[in-house]
Amino acid sequence: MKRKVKVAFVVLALVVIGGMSSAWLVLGRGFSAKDEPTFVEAFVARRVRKLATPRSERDAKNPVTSSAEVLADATAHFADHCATCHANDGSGDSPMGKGLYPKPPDLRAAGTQDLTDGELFYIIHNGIRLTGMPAFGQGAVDTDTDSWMLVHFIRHLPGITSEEVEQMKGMNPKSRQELEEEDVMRRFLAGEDVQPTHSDHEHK
Amino acid sequence: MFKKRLAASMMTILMSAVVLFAHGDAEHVMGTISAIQGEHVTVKLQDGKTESVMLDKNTKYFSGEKKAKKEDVKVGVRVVIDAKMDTKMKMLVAEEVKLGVTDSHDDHKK
Repeated sequence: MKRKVKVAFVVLALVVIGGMSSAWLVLGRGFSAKDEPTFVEAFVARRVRKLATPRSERDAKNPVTSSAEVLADATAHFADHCATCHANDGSGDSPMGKGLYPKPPDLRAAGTQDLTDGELFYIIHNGIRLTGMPAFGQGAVDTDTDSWMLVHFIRHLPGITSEEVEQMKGMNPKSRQELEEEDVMRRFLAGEDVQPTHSDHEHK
Repeated sequence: MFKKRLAASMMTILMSAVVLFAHGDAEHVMGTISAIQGEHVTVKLQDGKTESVMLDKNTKYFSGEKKAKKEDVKVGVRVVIDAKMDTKMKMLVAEEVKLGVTDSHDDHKK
């Protein structure tokens, strides 16, 4: 009996010491969205995301037939609404994406491509809680054809060409300053005598 | 109370979004190629200053919206380079090079 009490005491002491050490480290270091989620966080988040999609929705088939027109529409939609965080090529390598916690996943990679069409649609339509992914779906599920078109675009991402990515840049939301700067660059490259600038957009 | 907290959270998220969007992390180097040495190009800016940029295997080249090649980067060609500072090498590394017209030799001498 005494031996059991001793063992329980040692275990409890180790837990308390471990907890206090962790708390000390966390409080001393603070939290930053620049960090990558720990393995445990990522593991739990993936499982929870999986559970968040009802079984009946996982196997849903895309009601929109893929075509060149659908892909063009979805490309423009993605560039306008999604690329700010996900980047035009789906890599997540965007100024906004790099500052999020958790970071947007690489949509070209297996972690996303292995999801079913139904899961992708559900995520776009409903968003993911406690992340930067909002619910884009408005109205009833059966009227949300835009999200189903985006599912086709996400399937296209692993093979997207650099020319397509370049074209998407013209569809990204831009501030007036960016539009003016682009105009100056275009005219300069065409040979006009405009004032070249060495523009610095870096956040220092 | 809950509504106020929700509104405050939404405002914080929106404001963060605006701030981040205004601060990309790329630099635009706009000028004319004045020298090429291996993987490094020197760009002459309008104010006479020069900027050295490194081209690497990930650099993409475009002429308009069409894909171009590294070989298209020649002395006298107008360029706009999207580059990022490599903090280890302390050097701008080109992510994308947009190629324009070639300045005449006389223009290049200026």
